[in-house]
Amino acid sequence: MESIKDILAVCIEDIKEGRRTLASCLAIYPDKRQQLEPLLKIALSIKEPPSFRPAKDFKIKARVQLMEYIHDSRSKKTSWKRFLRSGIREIWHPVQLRTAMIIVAILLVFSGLGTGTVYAAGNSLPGETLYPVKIATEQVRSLLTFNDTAQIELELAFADTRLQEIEALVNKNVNSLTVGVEGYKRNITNAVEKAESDSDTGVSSNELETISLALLQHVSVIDEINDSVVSTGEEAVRQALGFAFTAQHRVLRSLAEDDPLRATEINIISMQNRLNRAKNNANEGEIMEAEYALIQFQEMLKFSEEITKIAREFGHSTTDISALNLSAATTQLEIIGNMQGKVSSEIIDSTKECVGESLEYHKRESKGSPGNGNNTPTEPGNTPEEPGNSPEEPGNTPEEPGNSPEEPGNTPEEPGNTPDEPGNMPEEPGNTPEEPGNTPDEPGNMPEEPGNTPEEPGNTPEEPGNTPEEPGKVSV
Amino acid sequence: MQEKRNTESATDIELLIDESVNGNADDFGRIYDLYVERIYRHVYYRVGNTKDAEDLTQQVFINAWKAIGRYKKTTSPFIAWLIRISHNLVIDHYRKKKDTTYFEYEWEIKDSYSSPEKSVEKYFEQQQLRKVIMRLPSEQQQVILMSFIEGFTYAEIASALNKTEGNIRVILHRALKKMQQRLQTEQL
Repeated sequence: MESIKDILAVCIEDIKEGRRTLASCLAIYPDKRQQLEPLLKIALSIKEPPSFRPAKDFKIKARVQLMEYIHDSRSKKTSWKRFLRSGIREIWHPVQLRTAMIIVAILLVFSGLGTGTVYAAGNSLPGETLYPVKIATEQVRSLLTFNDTAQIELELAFADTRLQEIEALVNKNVNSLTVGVEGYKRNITNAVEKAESDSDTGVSSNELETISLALLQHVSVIDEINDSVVSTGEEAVRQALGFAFTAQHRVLRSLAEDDPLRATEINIISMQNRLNRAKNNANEGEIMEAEYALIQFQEMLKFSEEITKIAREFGHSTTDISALNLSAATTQLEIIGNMQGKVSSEIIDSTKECVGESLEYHKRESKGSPGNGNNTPTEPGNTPEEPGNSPEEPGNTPEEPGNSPEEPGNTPEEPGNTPDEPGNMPEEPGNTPEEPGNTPDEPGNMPEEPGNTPEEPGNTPEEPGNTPEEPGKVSV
Repeated sequence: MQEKRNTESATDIELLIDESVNGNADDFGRIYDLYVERIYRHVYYRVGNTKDAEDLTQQVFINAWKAIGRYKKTTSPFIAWLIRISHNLVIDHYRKKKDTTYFEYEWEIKDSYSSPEKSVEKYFEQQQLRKVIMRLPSEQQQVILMSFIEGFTYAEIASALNKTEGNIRVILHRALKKMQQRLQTEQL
């Protein structure tokens, strides 16, 4: 004779599959009807609730953060390899390193490898036998270049080479591609650090500008590479793009100390490029890419305020800077408006709100309102904008000032999102490695939780009805 | 690119999983694209608010990446493995909060029923059911949600939870009995 639990299970499955109705099930088991009917009714009333979709912004941001997390954790794991490949520079004293590399160069030239090998290595790609020779040769060239500006230009040229390698490896070999991306980061970091060390002596504006313009170009190249990804390499390419943006901001911050107007101009070009990319992607139906570009645009827009603050801190007038940003906003709003209906309204609205907030900020700056530090004695020429004469006049934009957009999605700073969160540590005791989600790396598992092991009492058919309340569970 | 991600066949998904197990982050990114909505929905059902659902969903994929090297194929689909991770995180989330206050859902009351009254009635019915489900012991919760919200078969649930189908039927029966008792008590 079938037990109630089996009848119940069969009836639920049959009703869910449409093979039977509640009434026909009950008719088959008239003697069990009294027990069966209420349980079946409860079971069938459990339905998936509507409208449970994550916000698009969240999906994109969470994806980006996931990829960053993966990348970071990978970098930590392979730090010893990086040490062998490139970290030597960071650890050795520069003089020791230079000496060592010159010796390596001499050995390379006079060893069996010879110049032919070095020449052949020039076309090699990450993962190929001769690639380490190519990198060593580049490092030797850099070490043998004693002019700072020339060294920066050399590192930028190497960064171009890395991008070519990335382009050649995309869709082919993800591990080698990652090596190329790491190399790109290294070259840009070398260039930036060199320029920043020169900025201490006050002679580096031109160098910083050179790097910044190169990064603008790099972003376009990386965008093109990103568009060509069809199988593997997307994460690595996005890493390169994210790094180029971060480096750009770092360079512009330094540039803003000396020449904030130029830093603003470059940031505006950068924003314009992002908007154009968003527009083109939206027109081509690449919605996710378009939205991704709009989020990057929003970040750049916020960064424009940072440039202004740096300018003020270093005693520059912010009037011209804000005027530049205000004049760019008109075009920006027009492009964003044209994307209406092509990407999600949430992202359009949040982008417009960002522009609105930026407008308000720069209006205050351009008018030199008291309290923002803009009316310093060094800025006698700060005349307020004539109201009503600019397209950015309040009332001419759809954005109400003060309506800051809620940032959907999680920032790495938010609790619960960091791998280091207490309770999410790999060291958490009591997790059995066999279970998915219960591995030593898995947070959130309760070692004492009954029912997570097959031998747990209370989960066998022989002992129905004896399940104890499980510890740690929600109870009201 | 979105279309490209959404058209993955079962074989493609298998390949994505294999590649992810081998450490291919790009392919894991595609797995994220495929399953993020479903995981979010599952988590949201259990926590009832956007903020926690977003935090936990993100953490599910981070944890999945950490554990992917040890993933072993079973007869249950890959999503069941992710749901298991979600389940553990939600349990941990409530445990850490220590506060047993229930979040009311941020649900909209949809006019999908014959009348507004009916819609409201259905809304409260689902809210009540959810509360009762959330008070079940962890394992019973998991089986109920996997069966009725996620639509897994008993065989799939059994495989995902490393139990027999017989175990699952017992757990299901107990869970429904407990729900029945609690619903009756609340109505009194």
